[in-house]
Amino acid sequence: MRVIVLLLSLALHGLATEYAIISSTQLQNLSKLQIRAIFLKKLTHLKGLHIIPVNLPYNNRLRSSFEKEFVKMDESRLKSYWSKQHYLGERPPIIMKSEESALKFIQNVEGGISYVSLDKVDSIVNILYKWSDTGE
Amino acid sequence: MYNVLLSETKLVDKLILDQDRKARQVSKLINAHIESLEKEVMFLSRLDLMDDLLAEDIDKRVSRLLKQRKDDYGLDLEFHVLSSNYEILSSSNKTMIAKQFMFKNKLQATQGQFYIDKKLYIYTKIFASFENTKDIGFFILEYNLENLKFYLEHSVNEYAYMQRDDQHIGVEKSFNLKTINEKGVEILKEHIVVYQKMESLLEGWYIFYVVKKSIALEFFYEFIRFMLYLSPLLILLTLYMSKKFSRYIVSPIEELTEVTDEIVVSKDYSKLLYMSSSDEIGRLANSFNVLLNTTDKTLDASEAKSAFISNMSHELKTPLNAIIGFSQYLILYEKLTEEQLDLVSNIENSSQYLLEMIHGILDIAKIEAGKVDTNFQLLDCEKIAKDCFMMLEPLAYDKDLKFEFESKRCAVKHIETDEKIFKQILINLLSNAIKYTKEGKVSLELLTRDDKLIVEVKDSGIGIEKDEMGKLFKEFSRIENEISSEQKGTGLGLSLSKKLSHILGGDIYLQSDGKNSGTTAVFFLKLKD
Repeated sequence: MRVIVLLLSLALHGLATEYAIISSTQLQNLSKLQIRAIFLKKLTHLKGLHIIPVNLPYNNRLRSSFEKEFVKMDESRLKSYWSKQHYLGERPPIIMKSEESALKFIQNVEGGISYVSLDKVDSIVNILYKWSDTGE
Repeated sequence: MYNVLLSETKLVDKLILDQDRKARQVSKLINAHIESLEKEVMFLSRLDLMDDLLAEDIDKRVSRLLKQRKDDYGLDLEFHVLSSNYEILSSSNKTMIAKQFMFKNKLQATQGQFYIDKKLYIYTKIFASFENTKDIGFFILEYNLENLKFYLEHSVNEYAYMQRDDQHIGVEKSFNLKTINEKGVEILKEHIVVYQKMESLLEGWYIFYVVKKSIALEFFYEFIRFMLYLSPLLILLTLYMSKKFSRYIVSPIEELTEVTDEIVVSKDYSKLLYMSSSDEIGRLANSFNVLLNTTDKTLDASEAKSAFISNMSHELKTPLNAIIGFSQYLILYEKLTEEQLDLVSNIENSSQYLLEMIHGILDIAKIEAGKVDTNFQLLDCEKIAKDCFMMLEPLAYDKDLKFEFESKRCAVKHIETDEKIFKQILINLLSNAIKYTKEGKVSLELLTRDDKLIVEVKDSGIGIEKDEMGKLFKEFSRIENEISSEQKGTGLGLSLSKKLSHILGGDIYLQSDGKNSGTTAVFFLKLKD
């Protein structure tokens, strides 16, 4: 029985994907709250650096997980937030279609910040946080 | 021929105007097209999607968009998106991706255009959507100007092309024009070329409109040829028509003329015209007949009058002669008392006056009946005038008048005229002048002026008011004045003289400045050359 539970947990663990918040090398040591503020565009500059958050497309699993984990708002609340912001002249973060694009963007743009699967991250970018989602 | 040439130049002018309008229109269309392309470039370059450049467009989203736009246009054009270091990141043409853009040194400004051969490149820098000062690459439209062929007309008669330096779009053929201005027209041997400069993005290009003269004017030449062929036909038709209509129009008129000529010659006014037509000519003939009828009647009446007067005069002359004769016999041979002498003298005077009048009437009747016999001879006019002058000198002498004769201004010596009538006129005029002049002088002058022999009889007598002058030439009319009551006169003298002068082919008129300022009677004859 124990063995089964262990195997199951191992299997579950194996299925759970690990994600990472990545940023350009100049952007380091951000708190979770700062990350939330950045993706809500409440925080745009840090130490003279223009911070550019990059989202993945809507209905992307990774994006939903990220928003649940860091932004802490569900889809409908976010929608209403951005529609209000829209009238104030603020737009939601730019969207890259794929994780690869997002990664490339972070590599190329100073102050860029995004999130990708951990296994896609190479050495050039800076990993701020890691989290995993079991898909529950 | 002049007209033909005129219409040809007109046609050419119209052609030029037409071409010019077309060129302008097409130039406008092309400009609008190019401008719309430029706008497209601006629009696409500002899309948020361009941020993908920063991810090197690895998702191919930009490329897909560019391909789609290209397909939408369906023209020979390519969109390229370059990174800041001129690498082609995205393109509507897959094969271009990852290559270096060949003309990177042309990308100097934020936006602009340049030409490489027939390709127009419109470019603009791309800025990041999140930071509008951060340029992240270039957006380039590579447009093949051959696309514009679509706008350039081609037909047998005319074609259009564009030219910039040695680049042509449209036909390959071009014309070496002497000078090229902003716009202009050149009429070559076989072609008419209208050109104008193009604007904005197509600066440096010219649009040319060419018309082949022979073809454009073909219709015109065809028309002239047609007219040439047709003209003999037209002439024939005209001849035929004129011949046909002359029967209706000319022949009645000819008939009319014939009859009138005949009437004039024969003076037989009883003739009539016979016209069957009821048109204008028929009416003219009718009216003419009515006129003839009236004239005939009038002439009959006039003739009857003349005959009556002439007969009466003859009948009157016989007893008058008896009265005059017996009166003179009484005065000369009977011892009459003063009183009786006065009475008989009165009878004789009155009878003389009556006789004079009858002679006058007879003369006039003769003239009116056209029965004056004339005998035209070459005569010494000065001698005749002098004779008349001498004849009347005693009368002037009686009244103590200065009486002068002058002929220095007369350039002719001989004149062909009737002596009797000429003399009669001169005597009439002279005696009139003497009659109506109390004191002063009467002069007779013979002169020539403007092919005319003029006899002027001037007096310093009573003169005539202008409005009464016309009256003088009427029969039996005399102007009432102080002298007329003293002078006897029949009132036939001037009228007779005028009629006689007409017979000689001349005329008489009077000149006077009014009462008491003298009168000049002028009698002139046309000199035959």
